[in-house]
Parts: sequence; C-alpha cells; structure tokens
Amino acid sequence: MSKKKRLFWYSFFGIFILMQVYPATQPEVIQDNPNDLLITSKVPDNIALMLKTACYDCHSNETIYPWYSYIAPVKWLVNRDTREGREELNFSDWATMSKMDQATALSDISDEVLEGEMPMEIYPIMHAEAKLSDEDRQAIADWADELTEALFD
Amino acid sequence: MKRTITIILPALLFVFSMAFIDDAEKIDESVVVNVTNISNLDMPDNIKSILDKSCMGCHNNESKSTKGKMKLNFDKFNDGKYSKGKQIAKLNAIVKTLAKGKMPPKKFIAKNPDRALSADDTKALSDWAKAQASALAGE
Repeated sequence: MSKKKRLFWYSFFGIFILMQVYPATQPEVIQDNPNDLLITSKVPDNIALMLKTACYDCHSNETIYPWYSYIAPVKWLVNRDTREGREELNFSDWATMSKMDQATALSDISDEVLEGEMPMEIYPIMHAEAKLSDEDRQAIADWADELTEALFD
Repeated sequence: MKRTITIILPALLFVFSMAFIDDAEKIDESVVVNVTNISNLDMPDNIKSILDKSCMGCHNNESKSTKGKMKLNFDKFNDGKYSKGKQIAKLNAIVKTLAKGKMPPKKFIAKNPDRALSADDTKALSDWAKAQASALAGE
C-alpha cells in the first residue's frame, strides 16, 4: 500500500470510529403501554397488523431497533425519525389524547397513507413487510375515516 | 480503487445529507383565491380576510401545492368532501398548526411579508377554528 493510500484508510476508519462515539440519544423502548390504541380500541386484525408492521417502529414506544440502527450515521437517522415520529403521533398514548386530537391524527393517517407520504420512502427499503399496496392504503384510510366519524356520533 | 472511493464517498455523504433536509415545498404565491363562497362554516368578515390574506393561496382546490391542499382544503368544507368528523379534525389541525407556529411557511412569508399573520390574526383564527370545531362536535 502506498503511503497516501494508507493515510486515506487510517483517516477513513478514524472518522468512522469518531462517529460511533459521538453521543446520540436513542428514544427509549417501553413494552407496557396500557393506553395503546390496539389495547384500548377494537381495531380489525388486518389493520392492526399493518399498523404494527408499517407504523409502530416510529409511532409507538415499542420501536424494534435493527442492528444497523446502532451504527452511525444510520443511527442518527433512525433516532431522529423515531423521535420526530413519536412527537407527531404516538399510538402508545392513544387513550390519553383528546377526542379532537384523535380525530386530527386519524385524518392525517388517512390523508398521508393514501397520498403515499407515509410510511416514509426510506422505511420499506429495509422493512419489506412495511410495503403497502394500494388496497392496503385504501383499507387503512377507510378504517381511519370510519373511526373519525364514530368519534362524534 | 481510489477513483471509486472519491466518487462513492461523496455520493454517500450526499445521500445522507439529503435525508436530513426537509423537502422544500412548492408554493405558488401568484394564486389568490377568495373564500367568500364558503358557507358551511360560520365565518365572520375578519376571519374571511385573514384566510384570504394568509391561507387561501395554497389551501384550495386550484392550489399548486399538492401537500398544502392535501393537508387542508377549504373548498372541501363546502362541497361535501369533508365529512363532519373530517371537518372537526381539520379545524383542530388548524389550531395545533398555528400553536406550533408552522403556518404560513417561513419561505412563503420571506417572499410575501405582507401575508404574515400578526399575533392578533393568529389568536383570532385559532379561537375561531376552536369554536367551530367544538360547535360541530356538539361540545
């Protein structure tokens, strides 16, 4: 190996190691969530399954962190998306939300899933099971719309 | 080998940096639409003029901002496309979005300073949306 090449690889791995020790906060995983949507509401099995596989990693306290989410720079991305996802909507806190906030959340779910805004494009790349077909998206939207109306009956 | 790295490394860095950047929204400032035809909501004149000034450029059927009209479309209050629950959901979303200071978008205001919401505008709009939502919900 030439001197230059060696210098390049040393600095490459040096930076990589530095990235790993740079402090990062991973959103906490909580398994016991008595206020969770799927515990407190009757959600059809097919919808519950889709929510679990396509949404719950970012929108609940039950995030399943894959091995690569412990390695920077992917770590930073996963931590950020999970933190922001929970801030926007956390299914684990469902029963603590007001009826109106539930309606707004359901309306956003319907709009964004139907328009293909959610799940985020990057997510199904590593989670093939989270890929939603058009029928899946329609089913989620219909469920969310129906539940929105039921809230104010 | 070296050449491959000099190409791949910046490319990877670019891809990662893209993931950290919020996608810019397309906003067409030229579109000015009036809300005067919205009859389904109880809308006093001061609210009408605030909406016309700061919101209706994007939140209507003809909007070129796909995201803007997907999130909120005032025409759909009137043409039956928003059910009762959806109307309540959208009105409550207005309250929440205003509270976070997320609307109108900063970029839009930078280009159109005269379309910014004053603190009084924001309060009036938020109070109005809250009252409308509560009335619809029967609270």
